[in-house]
Amino acid sequence: MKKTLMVVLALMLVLSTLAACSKNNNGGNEAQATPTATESASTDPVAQSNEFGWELPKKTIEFSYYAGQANPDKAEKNAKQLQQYILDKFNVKINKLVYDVKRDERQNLMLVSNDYPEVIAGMDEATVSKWVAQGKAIELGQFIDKYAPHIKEQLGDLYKTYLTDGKLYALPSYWGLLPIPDYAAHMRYDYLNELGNPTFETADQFYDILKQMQAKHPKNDKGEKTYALSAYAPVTTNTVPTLAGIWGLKEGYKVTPEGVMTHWVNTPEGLELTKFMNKIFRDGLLDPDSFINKYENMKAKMSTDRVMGYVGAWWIGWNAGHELWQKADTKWTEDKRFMQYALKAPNAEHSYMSGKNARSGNMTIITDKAKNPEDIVKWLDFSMTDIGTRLIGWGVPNTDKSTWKFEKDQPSFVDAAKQAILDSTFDYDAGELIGMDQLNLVSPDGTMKDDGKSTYWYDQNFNEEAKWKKMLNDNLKDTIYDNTFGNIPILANNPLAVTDKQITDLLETLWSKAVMSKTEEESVANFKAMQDKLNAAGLNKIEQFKSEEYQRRLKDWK
Amino acid sequence: MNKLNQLNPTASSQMKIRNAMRSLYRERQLWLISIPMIIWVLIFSYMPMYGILMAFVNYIPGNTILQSDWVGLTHFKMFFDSPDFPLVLRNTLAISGLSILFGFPAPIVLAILLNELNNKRFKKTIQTISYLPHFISWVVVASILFALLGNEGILNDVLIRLDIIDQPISYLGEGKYFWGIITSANLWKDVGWSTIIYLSAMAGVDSEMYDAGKVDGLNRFGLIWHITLPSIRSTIVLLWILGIGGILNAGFEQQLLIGNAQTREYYEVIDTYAYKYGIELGNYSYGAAIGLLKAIIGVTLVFGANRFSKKVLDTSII
Repeated sequence: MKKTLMVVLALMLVLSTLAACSKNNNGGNEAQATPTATESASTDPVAQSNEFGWELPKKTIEFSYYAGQANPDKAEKNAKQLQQYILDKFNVKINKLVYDVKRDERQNLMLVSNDYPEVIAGMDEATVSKWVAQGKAIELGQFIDKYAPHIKEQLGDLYKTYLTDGKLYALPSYWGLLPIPDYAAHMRYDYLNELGNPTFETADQFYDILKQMQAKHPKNDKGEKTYALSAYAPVTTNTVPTLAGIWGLKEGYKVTPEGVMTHWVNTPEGLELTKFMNKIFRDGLLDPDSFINKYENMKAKMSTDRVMGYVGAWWIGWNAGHELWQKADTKWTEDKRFMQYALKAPNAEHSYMSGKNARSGNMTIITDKAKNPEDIVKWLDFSMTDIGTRLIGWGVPNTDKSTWKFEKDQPSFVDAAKQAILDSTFDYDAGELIGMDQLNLVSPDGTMKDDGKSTYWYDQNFNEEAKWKKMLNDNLKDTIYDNTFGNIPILANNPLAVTDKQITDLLETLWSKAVMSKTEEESVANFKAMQDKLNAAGLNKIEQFKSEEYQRRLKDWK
Repeated sequence: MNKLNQLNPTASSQMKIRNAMRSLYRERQLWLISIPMIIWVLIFSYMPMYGILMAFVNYIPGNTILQSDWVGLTHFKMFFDSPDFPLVLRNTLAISGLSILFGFPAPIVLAILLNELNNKRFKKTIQTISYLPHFISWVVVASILFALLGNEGILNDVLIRLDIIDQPISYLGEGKYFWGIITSANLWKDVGWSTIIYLSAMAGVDSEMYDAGKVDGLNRFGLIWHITLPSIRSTIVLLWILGIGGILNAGFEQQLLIGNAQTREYYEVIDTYAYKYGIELGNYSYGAAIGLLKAIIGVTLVFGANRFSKKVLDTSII
């Protein structure tokens, strides 16, 4: 009996193994039965082009690229459909690598261990120079004229700004100028209507209205205290540059036409904006946790009706406001939202709230591990074209989940997806699954050259038709400016990087003291003390460095 | 012997070597057993010390340390010249000093109290409860502190309800409270855990000594003072010396989690500074220099404290 059982079990094992093998083979055959671009190309001696105008390579172009810090499982899941589409249609296999480790640390580890992929994206320019110095980044200029006709054409005047001694080692991603605002003064729109929709232009008028709102709603439904204004740390990064823009400064700097840059701390405008914040604090209307809040803490307060206003990135009022309310509250009406406004101080010539850096600091290199760098350059060249930008930005076309169609060489939006954007019901998670913004190596996020209006970010394509977005853009259109020359980061390989970090840390600490002073005199004294300490710590050197670089750019880039 | 040394130093050193060899031969089995451990220590503890050189060069990832440019003491000088140096040193010494001041005697007192409990079940329960905070991560501790001491935390709520204050006090947003909060949190977290070693030392005290003490008329406090404490003196000294050696270990996670921009002038310590300005900025050499400086001070303090206790208390660890 025991023997029989053993024989039966053994037979079952053998048979199931054979069956499984047979199934695998069949599966493999099935997969092979569908001709891929690789095969169709490899069997065809004449090079073919696909509907995107891409010349199909005879041999699959395959490369891996490191994309930075992210959840590997999520990144794999989101990139999968677009990767497959690109393999099928273009015969290009792109392997995206991400790790749940800080980008800089991983890049340094790659450099030390000599273990890195053919392409690395999302590098800052200091890291690029480090890789170039080690001879591990390939010079791309040699391939550009031969294999990449679109790169120079698309980058235009920007191209020369990426050259180092006439050589090109890296190309940017997310470059270009999209003329939509990034920063704003936020205010509760429904409460503004309650007050009869008064007009306002200056920061003081803005605060007066917030104060009236707070007086009308001193507590939320749960009986918790409300505040006129809130912020989250670091406030000197998240709020102050926008605030300084209201006083006519550009990204926190006063810039003369000759290119002399002065940090806001060393300007009278800096003192004015500090007094403005101190007044709100002294009135007891500034969220006392403003310098401690993480974004999530502030979001919790904004979404529970405890905050009347905020100054900073436009999307915060949306993310912490109606995007939550419309899902959670069945009685939600569309007026219950934060609206974004422009402000201008009375003495300011102009309000500069949204500085745009067309150049971008997000660089992509091809490393010395690439056996056929010219093939990768060809893909980068395609990625930079307008249709390539659509594919990378909007994801896989022509499926039932797609947001766009590409038929008869013409791109068009899917009505349902467009309507979802207009209704603010678009499912961004589903968008990621079809590959939206998942494989950007060099794609721009400005407006496209072919129609002069489409853009990489799908949801920014319908701003004129989306009521609230249009209102936001109309309110803020005069506050946008090109800050490509003024966006001067101090890179990690610069000895001033330590000074810059010290100043950034000191600034947040010392400014919080000036804002949270009990009297205006104390606030002014704390502001002056901050000025002295920061200049002693090397702020003047930073200003000098930035001025010199700005002047160099004026000379070399114009 | 001294005379022999003076007269014939060569003969003396030869004799020392011969004695060492003899001892080595006599203990050859022990040495054989130790060989794997010695190799392990050499490979994993001493060989990496080659990395110390990083503090004296301009290390760039991708190059080896020996390929990097030699800069001598530049990174040390940079740290001393930094505007943050006095602040960082002050905070490190203050937080560690407070931890030693309160955190060192507290477990001794608690261990004595536990040792005096007669009900074994109750004693074990209290012991277990006192160990628990040690296993709570600093992330959770920070959340508890925010809930307790935040502007809208329980403490402010209670004080306002009792009409003791009319505006909330920003305990976590004002630097002057930070040292007290961090010391209390350190104490709460580790006091129970640190009693283990003292309790085990107390368990080794001969019970006949207590009987003799009682016969001599000592009361409970007398027994603690004259028998328990002197019996665990060597343990206390050992932990004190080690504690002094770690005086520059003022913490890391707790500072980063509980501290914020408003309290930076009170929370930034050597380790957080080395992390932010060394590792985060990719200045590995700068970080290594700060770490090396801290290690040198730590070792010096261990030897200093050891010497002091040898002279004053006639007890030492080396």
